[in-house]
Amino acid sequence: MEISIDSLKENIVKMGMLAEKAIKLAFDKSAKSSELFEIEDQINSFHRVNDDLCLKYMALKNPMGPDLRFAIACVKINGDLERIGDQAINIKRSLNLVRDAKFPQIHTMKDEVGRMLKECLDSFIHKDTKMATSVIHNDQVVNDLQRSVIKMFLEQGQKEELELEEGFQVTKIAKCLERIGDLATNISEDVIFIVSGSDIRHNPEIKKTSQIDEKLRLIQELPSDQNQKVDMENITKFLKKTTEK
Amino acid sequence: MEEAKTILSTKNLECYFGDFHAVKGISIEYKEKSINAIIGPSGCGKSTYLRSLNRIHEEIPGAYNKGEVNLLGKNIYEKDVDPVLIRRNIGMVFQKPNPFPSLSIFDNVVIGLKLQGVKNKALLQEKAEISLRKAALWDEVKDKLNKPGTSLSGGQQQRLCIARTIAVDPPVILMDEPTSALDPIATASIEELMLELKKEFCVIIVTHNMQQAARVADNTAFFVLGELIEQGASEQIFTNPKQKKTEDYITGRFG
Repeated sequence: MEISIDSLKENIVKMGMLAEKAIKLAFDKSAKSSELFEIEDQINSFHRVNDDLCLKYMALKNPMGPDLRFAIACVKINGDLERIGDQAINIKRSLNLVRDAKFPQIHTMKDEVGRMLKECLDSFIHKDTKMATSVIHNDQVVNDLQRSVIKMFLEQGQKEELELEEGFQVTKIAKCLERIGDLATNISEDVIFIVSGSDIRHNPEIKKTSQIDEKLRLIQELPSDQNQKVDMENITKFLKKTTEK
Repeated sequence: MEEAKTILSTKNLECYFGDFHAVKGISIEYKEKSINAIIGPSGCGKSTYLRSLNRIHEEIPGAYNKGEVNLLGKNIYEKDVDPVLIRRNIGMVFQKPNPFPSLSIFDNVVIGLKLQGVKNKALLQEKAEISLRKAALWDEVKDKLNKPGTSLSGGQQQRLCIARTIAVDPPVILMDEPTSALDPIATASIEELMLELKKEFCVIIVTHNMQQAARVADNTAFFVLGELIEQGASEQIFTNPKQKKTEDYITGRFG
């Protein structure tokens, strides 16, 4: 594999799409667990390959400035995507134990988190800090939904309206989704770091307000040759091939 | 923390070779006990600028300067200033090690002091040892001080030249690509030495090796076509440069 930013970016995008697929499979009751495990295996392979690629890229190309930031961020995003794969497995395991419990928030959470993951990957592809910022802001919505699941679980549990084990599994699913939301947020923060060099982590004040935008040097200011090319056609083919197996 | 004192500064420094305007209005301040790198593509004027800091540039026929170079507040281009005295205060190490071939290791180190009229042998010996120790060369040459300077390896010769430069205690040391003729091991030892020298001196280094600038320099200035594009802390220049040209250069997209 060519040791370049383009290969690194392509691999991260492929891995991200597998992570999206993993979440879909986790919620698809008709899908077998083995299908999900296969996707997770592929995510894990990418985890190793991408870390190795980052290491070689940094050692051999001595990147600086935005390229260095990109490589550092890829190491982190790589880890975050791998953990999203793990969370999908956890969701599937818990969901297999849920039969009757009705928690409408879980569906909303699933949709919100799915959108966050898609948008953080899009923001990574296009270096779109505005989109990354919107993902970060959305994290609060997912956190609130998780709290609401726990609240509902406690209320229904007290009224003995649901089986505790099932309810507990639902809270676990909510926790997994909340974690995926956090990981998508981390990825978005890394995108902002790649583009602007600003580290906005652990700064709730900045996250709450529109200050992020002020801190950013937006993508439009970067020369077009610096937007690394991503061969989407190639990635789509890859995804089709791997998920059709 | 107390702010470091500015030891050398240039103000609108212009350098010419006849009609050719090689360096255009550069203003930079250099603090004491710091390493300052100047980077830029070939022909950007960085060596010319460096050579103007101790009035070596003007030795080339047709070459001249405008603007100011202030050493501890005094403009070295004022008419009453003796360039020889300036070069004693602003030492220089060149790209290729250039020990005097006819002189011994010892005499290479103390030649500057001898030219200043120092005759006291004990003092010369003391200065030679101190300078060679500071240049991290003493242990390797202490038993062969009378051998010719040129009998040493390239890396040792460069350290000998550094010892010669620091023997006269200049507050500022200029280095013009001091490791470009050396292998990675000798380069590492010179870089280590620079970090030691920084404890006492202000070092200004021109280098083509960006990693070297990133490794050793506190501050980095980036030149293109005789103009200063950006200057700042090396950690900022190499991780998050503000100017697009700098970004392009350090990422290898330009230059």
